[in-house]
Amino acid sequence: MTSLKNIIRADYLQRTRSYAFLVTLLASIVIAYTFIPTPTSSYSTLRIGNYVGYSNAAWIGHNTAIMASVFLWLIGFYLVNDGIKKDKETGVGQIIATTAISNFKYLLAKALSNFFVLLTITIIIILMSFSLVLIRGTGYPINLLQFILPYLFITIPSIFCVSALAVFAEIILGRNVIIQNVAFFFLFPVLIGILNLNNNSKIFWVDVLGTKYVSDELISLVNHQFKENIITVSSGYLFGNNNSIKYFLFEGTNWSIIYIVSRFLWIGIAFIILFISAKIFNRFDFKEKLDIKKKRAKKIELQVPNNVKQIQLSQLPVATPTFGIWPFVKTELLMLIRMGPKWFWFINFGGFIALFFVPINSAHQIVLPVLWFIQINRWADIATKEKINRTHYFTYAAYQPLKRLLTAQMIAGVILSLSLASPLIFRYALNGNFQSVYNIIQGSIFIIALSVFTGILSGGKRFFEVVFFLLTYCNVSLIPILDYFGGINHGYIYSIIIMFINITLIIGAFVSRYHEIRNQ
Amino acid sequence: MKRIKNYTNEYSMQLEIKNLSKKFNKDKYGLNDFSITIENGILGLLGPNGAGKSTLMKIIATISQPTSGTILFDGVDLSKDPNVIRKILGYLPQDFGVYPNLNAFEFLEYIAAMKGVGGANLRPRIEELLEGVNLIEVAKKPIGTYSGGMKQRIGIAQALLNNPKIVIFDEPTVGLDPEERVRFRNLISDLANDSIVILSSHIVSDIETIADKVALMKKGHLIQHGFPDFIIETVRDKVFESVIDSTALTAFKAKFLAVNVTRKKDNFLVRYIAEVPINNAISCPASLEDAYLYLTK
Repeated sequence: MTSLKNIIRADYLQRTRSYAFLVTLLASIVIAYTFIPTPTSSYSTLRIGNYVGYSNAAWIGHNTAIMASVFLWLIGFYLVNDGIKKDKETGVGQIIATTAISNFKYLLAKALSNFFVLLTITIIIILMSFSLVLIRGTGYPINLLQFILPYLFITIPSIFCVSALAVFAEIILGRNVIIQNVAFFFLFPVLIGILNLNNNSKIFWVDVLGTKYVSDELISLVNHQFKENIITVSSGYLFGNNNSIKYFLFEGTNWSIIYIVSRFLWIGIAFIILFISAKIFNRFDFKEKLDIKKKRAKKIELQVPNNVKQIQLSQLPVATPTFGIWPFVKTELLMLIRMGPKWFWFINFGGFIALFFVPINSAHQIVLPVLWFIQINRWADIATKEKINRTHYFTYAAYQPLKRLLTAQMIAGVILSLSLASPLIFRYALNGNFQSVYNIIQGSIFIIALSVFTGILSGGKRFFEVVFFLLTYCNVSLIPILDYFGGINHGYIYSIIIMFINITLIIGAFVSRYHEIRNQ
Repeated sequence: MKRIKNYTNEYSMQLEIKNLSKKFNKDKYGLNDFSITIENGILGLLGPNGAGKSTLMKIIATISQPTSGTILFDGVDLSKDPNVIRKILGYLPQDFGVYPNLNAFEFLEYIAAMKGVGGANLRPRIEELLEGVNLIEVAKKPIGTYSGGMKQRIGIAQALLNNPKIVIFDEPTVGLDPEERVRFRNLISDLANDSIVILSSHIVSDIETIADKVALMKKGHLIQHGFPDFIIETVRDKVFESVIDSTALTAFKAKFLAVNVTRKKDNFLVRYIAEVPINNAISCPASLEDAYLYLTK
């Protein structure tokens, strides 16, 4: 038990003692603040028809616990799905493989470490929400139990499940991070979709997020109190119709034993997932087992012959000074293209063709953001690969590393993203819709600038991956304010705003890289 | 208008390091008031772990900023104009990495672009360098498939791409087999004719064989700097060998600085440094390793 505790502790500290985690916590505070809108806000986050609850402790607790459950499922997976990968990359995995720890114990430790990372964010959200109860709350005395129980029953089992799922994904998909990210991107809407299949309240047995039971309670309360016939609860950032909002008093949920048992059941399922993972896990030897033939072919054995030519430096052809950036652009593009498995380009090709033939609105609003999203690892790699591959000693000592190298990295990224979007650009250009062409170009610059800026600032890929996932999810849900590529028809002012955001991100990227180079 | 200097073979360069300090935190210094002047030739840096060798090399290579002090390259302050040195720098870091999806040609072309060199001669130069480091046969394979020693040789090749005038090698012989180490030593000697070469190594014999001058470092300070013979002089007539009984070894080590212990049946042959040796001791010629251990103890 002590060894398990020590592994979890070390793993947790290793993950949380980073600048990126601090940025994540700060972002969590901001996001938690937005979970409870003020009466004058242009959005709401939990709405039963046109009804929202008065901001008492029970309502704030339920609202934020539901939002936290959904939010931490969305981003949690991306935040924690690299624990085993890190052990493999650092070589710690090989040391672990030679110890007596069982597969299950090791994976349980990883899952619990994932869980504690997400729990830390949950605690931040709880503290922020409680401050909102004190600041904006109506109705005293504060019902602490109905504030905290939603977190216990909804959020905590939910984050435990996503922690175990992240471990499972790492075991099953191993090094294929691209596939992991894309698979989860498509899994989440399926989970939400199951909840919306019908109004059968027993469906909370298949509701890993744990929100369905509370939603049903809220619906029946509003329907009973106001003689309405509402059938669904909307959650998320809901814009529009705010003027017609009506308030009702919500004093908490009557937590049924069956629901509580269902939450424990999900924790049990998480343990089963870990148990299955332990059976599959080959203790950092999986690549060798799967690719043994391939590896034999790959292994390079080079003998030193007796007649190796000695380098005579003074006799070498003299290379001439050239300070252009195009050799960089070429190689950066090459590296972007070669990332990930080759067969993944068939999927990209499918998306590329779809941009030609799918109705233009769907192509712009759904296919394009998804096609860009599935390149997430390529974008995230642009400005982080130096540190990850430890080539920053070369790149930071390069001649004019900012003006030449960083610019070339961004240009290569934009070339690739625009190439992927080119069928749509072509269609808009044929129609004479140059505003949309411009918006797509701006969108393409935005992705690259965002990836470079967040990559340099956070020192890793994770932060960008989480932000880009959230952004894409909102894009395909057609949330207007986050539409950075003109999928929803905006005016010129909106295009100009995006352009200014891009300029800010690019300046931010250059300034942060400048500081990074100066403060090694 | 930036100053452009043509570094010909006759030109003698000077790297002047003045009162350089690098503070990591309140109590920990990587370098502490370090001053040295380096001219054409090979300077070997010796020192135990944490002495500040890599920190010094990173600062000279312009990838790390000093907390205080200056480095002047032919009178130009590098912290103000790092690009002056970057164009003529060859740097092999201690724990560098590579882009695994590129092959050797692509990687070296990429590094050449960083250094600002190209033109029609670049490809033949890369080919000759790859031949020289014995990687030409595998030059079209992804570097991700290379062994540690092969990656180290790619590192050596990249440092020489731009005909460098300042060459910094941080632990260059790590991972090289004995034949490659000999070839590397020959290469360095060739380089030193018209360049400043700064080389660090834990293998004192490597430094002793090839360095013109040696700088001994300890806890961020420079404790000795000069020709190897000058440094060896500090332990001349102080190095001895004695046969010690195994039961007396621990007490002997507590009294003298043992630099080498070899088992001989039930006894030990101990090489040690002492002002006054024990009876029947044999006086030995001093080496750089003896001086290094004596000065850094």
